Amino acid sequence: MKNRLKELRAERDWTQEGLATLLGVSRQTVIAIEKGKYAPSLPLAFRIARVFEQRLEEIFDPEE
Amino acid sequence: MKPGRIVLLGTVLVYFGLVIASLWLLSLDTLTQASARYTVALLPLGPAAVVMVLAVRRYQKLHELAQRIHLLALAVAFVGTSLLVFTWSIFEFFGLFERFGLLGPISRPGREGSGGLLILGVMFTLYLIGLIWARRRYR
Repeated sequence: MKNRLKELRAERDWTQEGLATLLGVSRQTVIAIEKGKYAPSLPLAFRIARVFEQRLEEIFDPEE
Repeated sequence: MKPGRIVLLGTVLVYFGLVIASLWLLSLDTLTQASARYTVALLPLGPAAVVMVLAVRRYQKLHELAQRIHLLALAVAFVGTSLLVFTWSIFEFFGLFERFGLLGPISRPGREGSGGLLILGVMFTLYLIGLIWARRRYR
């Protein structure tokens, strides 16, 4: 699933490690999501949306 | 090392200790009563059950990608071991392979085992292969 995680993280000048800590996951999870290799669970997707103060569909593109 | 891991490893050690003790006791001629022999043989099952509960708890505490990775590794180990054991048993049945004991082929009659250690080895090897593959997949 395509997403804007990397872009949003860069805008905030956050590291992958920092974002991982905020989300309560490993850095590997953040990397896999950013690369589109792993689609997060619904609870994690909502946590991501909350952290970036965006709506889910503004971060994740279900068409991809 | 985290306390949870220490408890798990400790319980595994207790399990293997009881397996060795139970095998040693059963090999002696002092235990003649069937009920006593069954009791001794079943002794390691207590810590084995605890190991299973602890392992499942550890799995549930993993973050979701780690859970996915371990699930894929378990699938590789389970399917791979099942297929290998089943195929091997067919070969064994038709006399194409020698029967396996606890550690390998046993030629001496009456010493055939369950192949338990060998199967355990195959399962762990396949689990490690699955773990490496799954980790690379999400890298």
